[in-house]
Amino acid sequence: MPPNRVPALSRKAAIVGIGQTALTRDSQRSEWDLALDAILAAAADAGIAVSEIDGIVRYSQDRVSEAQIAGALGLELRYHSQVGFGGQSAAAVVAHAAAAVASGLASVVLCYRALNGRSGVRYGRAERNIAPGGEVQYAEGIRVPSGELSGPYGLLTAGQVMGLWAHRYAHEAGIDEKQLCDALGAIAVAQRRHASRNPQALMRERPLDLAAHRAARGISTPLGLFDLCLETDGAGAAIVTSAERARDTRARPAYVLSASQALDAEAMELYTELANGARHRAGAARIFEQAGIAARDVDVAQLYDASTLMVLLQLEGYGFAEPNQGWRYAIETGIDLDSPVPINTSGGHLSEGYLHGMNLLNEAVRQLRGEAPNQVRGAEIALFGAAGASGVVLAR
Amino acid sequence: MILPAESELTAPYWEGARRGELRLQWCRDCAQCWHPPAPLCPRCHGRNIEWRASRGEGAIHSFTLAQHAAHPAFESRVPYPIVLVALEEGPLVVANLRACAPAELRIGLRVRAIFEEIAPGVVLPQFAPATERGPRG
Repeated sequence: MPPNRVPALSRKAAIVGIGQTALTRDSQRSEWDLALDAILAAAADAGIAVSEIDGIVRYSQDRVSEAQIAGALGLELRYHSQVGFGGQSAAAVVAHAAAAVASGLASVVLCYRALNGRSGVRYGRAERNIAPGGEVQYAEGIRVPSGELSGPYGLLTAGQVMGLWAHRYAHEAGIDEKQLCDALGAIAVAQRRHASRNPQALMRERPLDLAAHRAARGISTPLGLFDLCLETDGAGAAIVTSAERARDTRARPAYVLSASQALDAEAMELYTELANGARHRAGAARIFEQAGIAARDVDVAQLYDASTLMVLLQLEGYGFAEPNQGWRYAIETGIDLDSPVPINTSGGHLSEGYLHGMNLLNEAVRQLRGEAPNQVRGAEIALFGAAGASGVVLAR
Repeated sequence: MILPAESELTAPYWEGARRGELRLQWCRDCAQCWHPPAPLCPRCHGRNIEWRASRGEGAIHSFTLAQHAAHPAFESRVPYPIVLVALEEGPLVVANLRACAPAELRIGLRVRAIFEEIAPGVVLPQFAPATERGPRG
């Protein structure tokens, strides 16, 4: 398939408002309530009246419906859509919103994600798919993990799948388990350092060093407790509108340069190509080409971090590191503020909190505004990317 | 205990397991073999499909030792090995590796299928190192 050279989204739409609730482990509030809080904050941040919102794009996995939002806020919608497959969605909700705005389907589009991921259905456990009670439970469907061909074997969570991927990565990169864990540890420690300077971060007062990372409770080898993201209660929202409307919003707009909504259709644990593979790298190259940039032009990146491993794979997948050299890059170059591409500058899902990508998106916008707790000086181009080369390139 | 919920699509797979066979779908038209099951051939999109018993031989493609029970059904099982086996016919399958110390787990280890009845009439294909003599050995 030839690359699409038409820069369809280029600066036609922008993220003009972001909102986020407190990130906690026990919100004591409904997901509906959390969503509304984040949405009102995003509208106030944009300086746009709530009544101007005429479109909604949301994660299909959210338990708060468009109708609940439109009903509670009295919105008159003329566009709404849903984006599937979880972690790949945050970039895609922006893509859908920007496309809706660019094509005139809507003028002000709201994106949100709300979840009680700790106090409600725990995100790191199998209960999302298989009920915990009773003598016998059934695993259904071909989906992985927790489907009928994986659940009976105890392959139940994304973290376990990533354990499989991690050993495969080490094999393909020709490194031993210590080298792999040093690289994963470098990522975990750097993100925790970012979180320590972010007042919103769940782990802001929990310093982490390599020794503590190494000594952590094992979850699924080679991954331990600090390699996996945080179960979190909270909500995030973003508001997208046209470049024209963005001229008189309150904050500096983050323009959408390009986006991609890829799909890895193979059942999750049966992937034969990891997120550092040729297919992913080609997808990433297309996003950058459509944005008129190269990977080296990215000033700051938020990379979807369900685990440290996914950051490592995406270092290669988005072309910041050479194939099979991401582990070395993580150790020697790193993702700190003084590295060529600071990554997950809020602490990310590993150390700030887990809003299924929305908090990473919000951090990308803060960086372009110059308002981030760990500000990358002069940041002009930000990438929010997920494995599968679903990503969005934003610019100020 | 977590049991597989058979569907129309997967019923021949589980019926095979009950008979001591690890069955895979094959395309009679283009000779493609695949797993997990699908309604049509992923290569030629034909529906001239048959189930055939795999030789049950392969090598570890990757592995993880689950140390944390993600569901109450596995609380008494941790730590347990989860492996992806690359079958000689090509596809990858999930299993637990039996008769192998955790320290011996490694990518490339040759394995062969064994079959475990985990509940009356419910049989899971599993794997053991190829040097071990399985029930069919």
